[in-house]
Amino acid sequence: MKPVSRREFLEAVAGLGAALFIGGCSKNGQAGPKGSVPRMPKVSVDGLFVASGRGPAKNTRAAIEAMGGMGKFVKKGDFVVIKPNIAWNRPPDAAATTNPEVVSELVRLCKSAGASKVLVLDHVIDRPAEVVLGFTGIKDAVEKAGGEVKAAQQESDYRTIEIPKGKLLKSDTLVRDILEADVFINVPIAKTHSATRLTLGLKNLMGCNWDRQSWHQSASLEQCIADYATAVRADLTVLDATRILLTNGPKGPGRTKDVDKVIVGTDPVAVDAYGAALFGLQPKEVSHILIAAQMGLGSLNPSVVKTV
Amino acid sequence: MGERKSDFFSMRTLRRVVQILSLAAFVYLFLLTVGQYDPAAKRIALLSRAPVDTYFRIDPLAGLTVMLSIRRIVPVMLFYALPIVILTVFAGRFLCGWICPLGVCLDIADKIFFRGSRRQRRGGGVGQNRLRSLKYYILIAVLTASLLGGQLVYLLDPITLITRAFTFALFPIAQLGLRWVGGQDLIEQRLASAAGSPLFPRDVQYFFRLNLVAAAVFIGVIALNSITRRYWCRNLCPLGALLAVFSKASVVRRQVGGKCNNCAKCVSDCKMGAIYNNPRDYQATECIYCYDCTRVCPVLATRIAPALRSEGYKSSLDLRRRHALQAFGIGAAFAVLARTNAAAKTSRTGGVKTSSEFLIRPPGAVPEDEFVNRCIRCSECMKVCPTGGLQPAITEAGIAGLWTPVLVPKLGECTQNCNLCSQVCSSQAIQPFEISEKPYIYIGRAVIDRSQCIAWNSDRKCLVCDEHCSYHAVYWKEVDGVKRPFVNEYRCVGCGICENACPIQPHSAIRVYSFGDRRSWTREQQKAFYELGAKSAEPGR
Repeated sequence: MKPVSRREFLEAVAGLGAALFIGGCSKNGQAGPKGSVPRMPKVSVDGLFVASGRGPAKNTRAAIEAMGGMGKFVKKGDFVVIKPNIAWNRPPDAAATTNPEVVSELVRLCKSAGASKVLVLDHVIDRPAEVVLGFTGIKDAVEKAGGEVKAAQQESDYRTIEIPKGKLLKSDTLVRDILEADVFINVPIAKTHSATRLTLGLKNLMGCNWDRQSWHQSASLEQCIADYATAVRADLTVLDATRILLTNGPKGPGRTKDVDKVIVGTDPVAVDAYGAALFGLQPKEVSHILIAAQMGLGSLNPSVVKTV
Repeated sequence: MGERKSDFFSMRTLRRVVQILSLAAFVYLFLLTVGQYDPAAKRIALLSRAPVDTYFRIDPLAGLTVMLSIRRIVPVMLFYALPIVILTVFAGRFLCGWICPLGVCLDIADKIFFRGSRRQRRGGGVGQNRLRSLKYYILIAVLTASLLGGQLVYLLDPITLITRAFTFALFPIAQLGLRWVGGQDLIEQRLASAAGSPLFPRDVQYFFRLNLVAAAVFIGVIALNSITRRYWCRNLCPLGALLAVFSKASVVRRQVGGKCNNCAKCVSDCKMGAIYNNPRDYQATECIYCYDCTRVCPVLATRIAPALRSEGYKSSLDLRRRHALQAFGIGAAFAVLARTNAAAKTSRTGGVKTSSEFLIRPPGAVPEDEFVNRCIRCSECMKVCPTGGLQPAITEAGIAGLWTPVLVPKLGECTQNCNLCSQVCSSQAIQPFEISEKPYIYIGRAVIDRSQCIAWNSDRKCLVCDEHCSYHAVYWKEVDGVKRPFVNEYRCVGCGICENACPIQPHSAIRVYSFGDRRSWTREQQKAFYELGAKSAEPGR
């Protein structure tokens, strides 16, 4: 072997360094302009659609069909992002995470409506996230249904968004894929929550941002939740109330109740208001739902509730 | 020269191949020290069933010092190291020349960095053997310390030394580098079909304390090559010294035939400087069987083969009694100083060390006195920890506990469904345990600092600690109309997820302290304590 001269060595190092640098640029350089446009829904459907008594998958299908089918939202070739609540490392029957069958049925519906790609993601809290994706049953169910799963665990997965209507939050971060998606479906599970009393659709959006701690540090967690929801609007909210967590939320383990319902709507406040009733609460008693209604995000008393 | 066979098919080539394979195996086992979700068991498990700690099990120095200091047999270390010892007795220090990953790195570094260096022009460091016996004195000091209950070895054991550099310095850099170039996705795509899971975990970027020190030691050992080849192995390595002692009566010897023309090429080419004075004579305990001398000999007079011979080599260790006694004294002094160091003082309330309130050991860790002697500082537990929360101790465990693992919840919690650290601990300083036992393996206790907590001092709706708690140990009560967090001592195991998640940064308003450590209790006692708490009223709502 020919000895490497100093010059050759330095050249090699410089070359490698340049390659790394350029490679790094191409990956992180696509950040786009700071402050992208808020994410807004395209289609609005009046009222809520509630399916019950059929089990998670069939409830989901029935509620969506009652609403006019997934084709109303998903067009051929669309990129769909589904955001369940899979923050915790808990088994599906603990009611701390969205029922995997609800999620996988949505994936199937999107696929048959012509979606080119369906990505199921969350900012997972318990670690390691890969384990949570497996343990909650989400990964298996979604992949069998033809979707993809992702835990958005790196800061590079997020982009900054402006929140023009926000009172406390003027800008925050949002998972890049949600920003790029054609259709965004929010799939919370109905649970109690120690800090915000309940966690339903609006609160579930908190898992789309990178830095949760700053919301807790702010003057009002509830105001932050509502602020964020003004800029991050799901096209569709599907509330999983197959089994709800009555105590020790959000992580449990706690007492659960089998409700066997799936609630679907485009009005995020209406869905949450209906969800609050499942716990025997007035929507007004849950501050962040009330604030969201006052900010004009939706109605506390949905005009039509169609039960199927 | 007509009879000379191709340079390629030789023992030297074989040795080089084995060396490369050994380094590759070492790196591969290192990378395999990672967890993955096991869908069948529904929990985290090691990526592979391969014994990822093989290199530590076969390390006779680690095994010997651990067993000397705890005065008990560690079967897994004994069974793996014994064959190595027996082979060394018969076949000499082949481990140094063929297997040792640090040795391979030194040889490779030699080829890359030290070719044509000043050292080479001076004649390859021939004659620079003054410090050769130093390694024996180091070994004496190390063994004395072990015997008297203080561990010194881990600063100098080559296998742990290189692993620490890999864990603390190289791996986090590799992770970062992969992220920069976007290689993570590439690797995952390749591995998705092959191993089913990434070797570079996606959701944790490792950050380690003392990474600079680990790297500096490693680089320093390599840099010593600028004085002589394998400077470390010749003069410093206590493992090499131990193997040299074992190899005194080896029957595989270097033999020089009558054709030798005294060209002394073997003398200048011996990387261990084992051949000195004249080519026919060598220091057998220094030979690492690299077979370089058999290849460089222009007349092919040298061979290495099994032989019962009594001439042509020297196997005495040439120790001076004075120096041996000094080494003995240093080792003994270290042991007694470590035992009388402030870090060794135990609190009146039980087995908790007073050295640091943040001395949080991984679950399953044996009681502290034994822990610092058992832990070989291989850093495998820190490599495998899926949250990156296990960190090398700096001051927490005192001088005697340097590099031992402590949980730093700020960097990562001890996640609920995981016992990986106990699975990779070759010396079983972290004893194996079932995940189902985790609710009562108390490693510490969370304490709420009400002066910092925003739920307590400014009536905010923050119960992040309660939300995150995996064991339902943090709960809330309404006090003056506001929900405020409390900690249930029976349920809190000190996993630190609350401290990690607390929005008060960097000094969390809930912190894990070592006084909850119940290592001095038996598992039955721990369980009884836990059940006592379960009988008490269900906390929270």
